Amino acid sequence: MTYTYNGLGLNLGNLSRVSNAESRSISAENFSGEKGKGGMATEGVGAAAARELGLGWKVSPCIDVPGSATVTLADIDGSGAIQQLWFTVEPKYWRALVLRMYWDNEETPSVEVPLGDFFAMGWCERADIRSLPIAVNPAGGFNAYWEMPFRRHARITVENLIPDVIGGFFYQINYTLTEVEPDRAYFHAQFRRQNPLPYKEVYTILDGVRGQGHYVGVYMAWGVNNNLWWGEGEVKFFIDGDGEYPTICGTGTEDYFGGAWGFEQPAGRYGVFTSPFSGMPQVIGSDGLNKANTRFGLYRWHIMDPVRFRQDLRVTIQALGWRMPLAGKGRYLALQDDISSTAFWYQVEPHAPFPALPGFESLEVI
Amino acid sequence: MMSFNGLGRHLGNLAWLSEADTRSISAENPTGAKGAGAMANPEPNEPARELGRGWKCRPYVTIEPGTTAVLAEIEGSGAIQSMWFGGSIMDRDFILRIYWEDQQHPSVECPLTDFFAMPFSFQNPERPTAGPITQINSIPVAVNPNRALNCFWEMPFRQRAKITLENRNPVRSGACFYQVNYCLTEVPAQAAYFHAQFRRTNPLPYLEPYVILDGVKGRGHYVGTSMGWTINNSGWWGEGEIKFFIDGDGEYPTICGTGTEDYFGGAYNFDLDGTYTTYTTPFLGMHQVLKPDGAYRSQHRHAMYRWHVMDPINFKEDLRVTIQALGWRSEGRFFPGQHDICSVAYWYQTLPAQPFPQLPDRNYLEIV
Repeated sequence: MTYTYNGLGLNLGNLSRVSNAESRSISAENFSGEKGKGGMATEGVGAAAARELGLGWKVSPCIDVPGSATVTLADIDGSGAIQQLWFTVEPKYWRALVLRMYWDNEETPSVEVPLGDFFAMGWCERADIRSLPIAVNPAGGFNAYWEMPFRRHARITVENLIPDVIGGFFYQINYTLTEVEPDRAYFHAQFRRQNPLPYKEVYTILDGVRGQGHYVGVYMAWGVNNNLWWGEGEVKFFIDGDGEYPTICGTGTEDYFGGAWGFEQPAGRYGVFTSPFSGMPQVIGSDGLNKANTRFGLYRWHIMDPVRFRQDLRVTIQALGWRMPLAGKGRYLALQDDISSTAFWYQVEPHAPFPALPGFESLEVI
Repeated sequence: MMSFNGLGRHLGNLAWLSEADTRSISAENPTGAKGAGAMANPEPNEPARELGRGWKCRPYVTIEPGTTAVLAEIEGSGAIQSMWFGGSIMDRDFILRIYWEDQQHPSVECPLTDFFAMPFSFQNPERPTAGPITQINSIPVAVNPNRALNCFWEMPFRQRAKITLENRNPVRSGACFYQVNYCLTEVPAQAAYFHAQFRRTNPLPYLEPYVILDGVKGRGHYVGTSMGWTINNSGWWGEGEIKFFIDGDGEYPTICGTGTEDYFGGAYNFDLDGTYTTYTTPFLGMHQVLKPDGAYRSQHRHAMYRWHVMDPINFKEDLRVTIQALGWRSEGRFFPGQHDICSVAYWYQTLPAQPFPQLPDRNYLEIV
């Protein structure tokens, strides 16, 4: 029997369809993902513990990422799609490691994001996330379910930005080898940070995108640099040649992330939430001593409502709060916060090269 | 050459390209026109007066007492893909209506908060951010801090769509923050229209079943129920069975459940070690339990939802849905309850759709 379904576009409703797609998975136990080649290691971090049990007993579950070096995690020939990613490593390294993905032998990466931010964990501190494309589970298990098609080749690397060896780096890259239809686009993710945002400037989440595609979400790590509510700012999507005014304009930061009224619930406190398409899974407060800052993690996935563009896209958000009312009238305050974002989108290749990723000193969470 | 119209979105097909155009209506772009967002000028008394145009000059609309605001009026073919509401509009005085094509009667008519499975929400006129609310973490509906109503039902239309919000309060205006995300694209012939109907019976007459939906004519499928249930006696109240009468079923339904909590995906009275336990999962929830506070808040209330996303109930001609209110009396005998019950039924169907029963007046809808 020949089956015509290529095994992509999976959802809970089409699981009964049979496909000739082949499932593969890369981890420290099978670096190449080859069929029948898992659990063969004789050397690895588990070798000593497995010395009585022998081959196949968790000899190589993880790797060390050498200092100031880039490790290729996956190097896949053929056509297919990454279907799921899982990573874990100590939280203090989440901004010291940079995840990159290259599709079909392109020169510049389509994904270039600090490891933690890719999984909506930019603050080097754990919190659980229960959304559809991203799940972060106890204790610091990173999971992504974005479908990432490729036609000839896929390469995934991780760079260690610091001179120290980062041990205990665990990963699993689940993918399928199959035919990819012509109208499938490529997955992209871009990180940015401004710290602090200059006065009266808008924060740019994404700019310079060229090609056809659709924006599917953003994760933001937002550190506030003054008291009072910080989230009045509006998100704006400038689509296909929009000039001064965007096509899509939001009504407030918490509104865009699917919340309202300053996320205050119950009264006097931020209410964390993590739902399938949006969330504020993390609120970090002062510990009363040297951990002085208040910081937020926010995500919004445009899965049911992607933002389409044919030629170009720019996405901005304002940092907007309140200053003292004068003459009884409230006044907005343009904020100068510590803001990071990771934008996720699909587009046809070639993509415009990304702005240079800041160095570790500018990425570091202090 | 692309054939995907951009509808039928889910996590697994996000890589697919499409010719659909994305648009979004909010108070900052009331028409949704391309490049027409954030164009309002700051008013002299408004907080953006020092920062100027583009700095959040018009984030909401005010709906005056006794008026109906047209929030969205869209020409063309496409689909609403998500909606978000916030503001001082969180009680039963605010009625959401959605009209498809040229139909004069709405296909969605529902108090705003009930539409988002929040039947017991009320608006404190003094403090717009106060009042009970519970989070919902389901796939089609999310309710997030604070009092933020989100839905992701796909709602296709072929020529036009209109969304209105009526303020039935005679004295209080409402600040309506909203965002309607949609796309303009070709809609395939088999796409049906989204419908939602609210009902309340208070109290339910003795021995009568509660009617969730009746009088539906056309072809379609039922995709969900949200309910608010106020208990008018002690004891367990959820033995009642749900019944789906499909395509001419007479006295006996085709689909019959086994108990109220069973239909909402729970079991054994939602009782974990002597306490009602709330939950909110992608397709099912018993997300709110309001308990008597020992004084004037004397009522015991439950809010629940059941989304038939993976298991819609198809009908070709007609549909009626009922649920019993059933508890226990002495000597192991069932006791038909006379509770205060409200519901929203969600379904897709072809047009024309039957006009809904008259929505009761604001006094009948009020939660007291």
